[in-house]
Amino acid sequence: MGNLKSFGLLFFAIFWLSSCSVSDMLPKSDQFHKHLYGDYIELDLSRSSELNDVEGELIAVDDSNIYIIEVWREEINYFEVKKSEVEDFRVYHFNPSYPSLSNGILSLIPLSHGFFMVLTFPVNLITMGVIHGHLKDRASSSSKEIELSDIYQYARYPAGLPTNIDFHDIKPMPVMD
Amino acid sequence: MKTSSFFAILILGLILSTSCKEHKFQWTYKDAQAATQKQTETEAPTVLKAHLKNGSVYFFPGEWTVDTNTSAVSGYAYVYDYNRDLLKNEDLLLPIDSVVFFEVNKELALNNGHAMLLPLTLVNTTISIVCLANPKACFGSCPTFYTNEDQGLFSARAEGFSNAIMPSLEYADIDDLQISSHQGPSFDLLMKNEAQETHVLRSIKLYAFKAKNDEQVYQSRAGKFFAGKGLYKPINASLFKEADQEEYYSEADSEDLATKEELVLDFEGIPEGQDIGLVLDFRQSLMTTYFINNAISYMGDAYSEILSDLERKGNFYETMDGGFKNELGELEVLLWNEENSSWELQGAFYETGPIAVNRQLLKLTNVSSRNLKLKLRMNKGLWRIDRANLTVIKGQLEPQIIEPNNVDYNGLKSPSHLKQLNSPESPMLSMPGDQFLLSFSLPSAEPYALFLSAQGYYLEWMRDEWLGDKDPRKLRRMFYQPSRYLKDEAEAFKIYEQTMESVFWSSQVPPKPISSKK
Repeated sequence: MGNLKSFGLLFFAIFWLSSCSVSDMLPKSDQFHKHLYGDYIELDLSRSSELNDVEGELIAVDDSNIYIIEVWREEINYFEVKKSEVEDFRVYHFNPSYPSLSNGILSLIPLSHGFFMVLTFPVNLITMGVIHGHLKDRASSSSKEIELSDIYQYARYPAGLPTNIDFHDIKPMPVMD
Repeated sequence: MKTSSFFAILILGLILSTSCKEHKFQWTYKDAQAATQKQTETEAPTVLKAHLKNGSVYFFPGEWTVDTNTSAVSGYAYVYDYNRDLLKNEDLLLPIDSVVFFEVNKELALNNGHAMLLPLTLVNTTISIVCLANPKACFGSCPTFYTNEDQGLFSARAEGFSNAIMPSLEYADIDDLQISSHQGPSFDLLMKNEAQETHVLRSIKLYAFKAKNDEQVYQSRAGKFFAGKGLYKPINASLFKEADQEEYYSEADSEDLATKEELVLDFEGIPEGQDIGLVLDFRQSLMTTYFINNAISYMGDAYSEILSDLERKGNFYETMDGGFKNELGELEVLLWNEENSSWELQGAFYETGPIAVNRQLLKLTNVSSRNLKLKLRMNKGLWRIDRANLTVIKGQLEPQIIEPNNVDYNGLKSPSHLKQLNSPESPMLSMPGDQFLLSFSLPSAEPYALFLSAQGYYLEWMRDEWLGDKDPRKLRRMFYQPSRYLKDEAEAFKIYEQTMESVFWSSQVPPKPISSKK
């Protein structure tokens, strides 16, 4: 029974990881070139920041601030984050498109392998984990790959916020179908 | 898990080698000429996005050029405002000086995650198909027995009466639980039915021997028990030195499945003038399982009829023993006689079943030297050997036989099952998925070496997928012309061996040949 519980938890974890896509707002890789909005950014902020960690569409970057719009359920949040408070970041250029269906199948199919499950289940688990990481890595750039000063090019407005527009008047990017 | 890690790395290598990260697919320039140059040098189709100071963007999805005369970008463009609402789309000229950034994007054609997992999915599907076609090869067989610390089928301490596939073949199978010194007033054993089988259990008994520090208890093939002192390891075959689950095996011959192989083991420094025995830790490969399944599938929808007929005639065992089993042979042990310069047959080991490792003792005769040379003669691809050591036999032992004093059936105390197990006239039934926790009270608090006796038989369930394989001609050949059958079946078995055996082995043992063959 203990084994079944562990297996169930593992399966749930895999499925949960798979379904928890970084963003439903970014296009898939084959549609990436048509995307006219900013890339999706995740920021880890220092403890001294008044904000918790922030994520959303990268709107613009200037000398001292990063402008982000987050859509959470029906709520739209506008963030001005000080560059100096950013400890770590990752910019997603397109949707990693995690293979939820394949992950689900590969989590369950070892049940039909009998005692070979002791081999196939961990192999599947490791492989799915690495693929998950690879897809994420392929679709994004982290602070290890690019400098914070270079992320402006992935913003909706690479030249900075338009001077004649109030940040809060900017509409968020629509959620992808 | 070394080998499973190897498999994972191999599969990942295959996947990732075809899906390297696209490091750059977006470039931003202030200079239009630089954007033009990037468009020229990029092999894949590109698009241009011209960002204006006011936040609007001109999207050129097709051909675009920089006209140096007019200092403008020309092409068909979609114009969006800062909120990305479409304003217009037309052929136009966009003055370069109104643009703050030119963004060139490459169109991407990447493998999706499903494609990356395809090799792994194919491997998994193949194993599933083989397991569905051969459930016994994947889901175990016969009652399997576990102690508290065992994890999964591979660690089963014993599998009961594997040969008893019909009522007339019922027998009591004794297995070494490989517990040399259990201390405590009680002992629990979990018995499972992990196969599509009906198990009929006449009795389950514990054989207990008071443990001594410097002696081990071993059973012979005939079900007798002996005390053994010391272990003498072969000097020429490191794989056979320890009971470490690193097993020796070899693949079956691709032309004739009855092809034999011989391994020679050298021992030195054996005490003189004492009874010497060979202690062998061994089990079968999946070859026997393959043949049993084949036999049942050849019977097709006549399975019950044929089994009933064999049961009534009561000659099934003789038919198989004299034919098929004789062809495959047993795991024979021969001792080199220096005086006669010849190999002398000492006896043989035989125990059906690929799951639990059997530990048995074979007493050697005519041991006349401190240095011994033993030969193991066996069918290729049929046996797996973990350890082959010699021991000094100190005498025969009589077990204390203990019946279970409690049975939990699927987690609940079950006096009725206990009564059945302890009443030979009314055997206990176990159906697929059943689990029984058997408890035994030991005679005293002293340490005991433990063995298990399981008496009964089992009935293999017919599978839908086997019905289509009915082939009475092959069945007759298997029974009455086993030599020819084992040649004819070699090709099909090798495919099975390459899939299931290799997976099974790889999860257990890296393939290691030993050096000396004679």
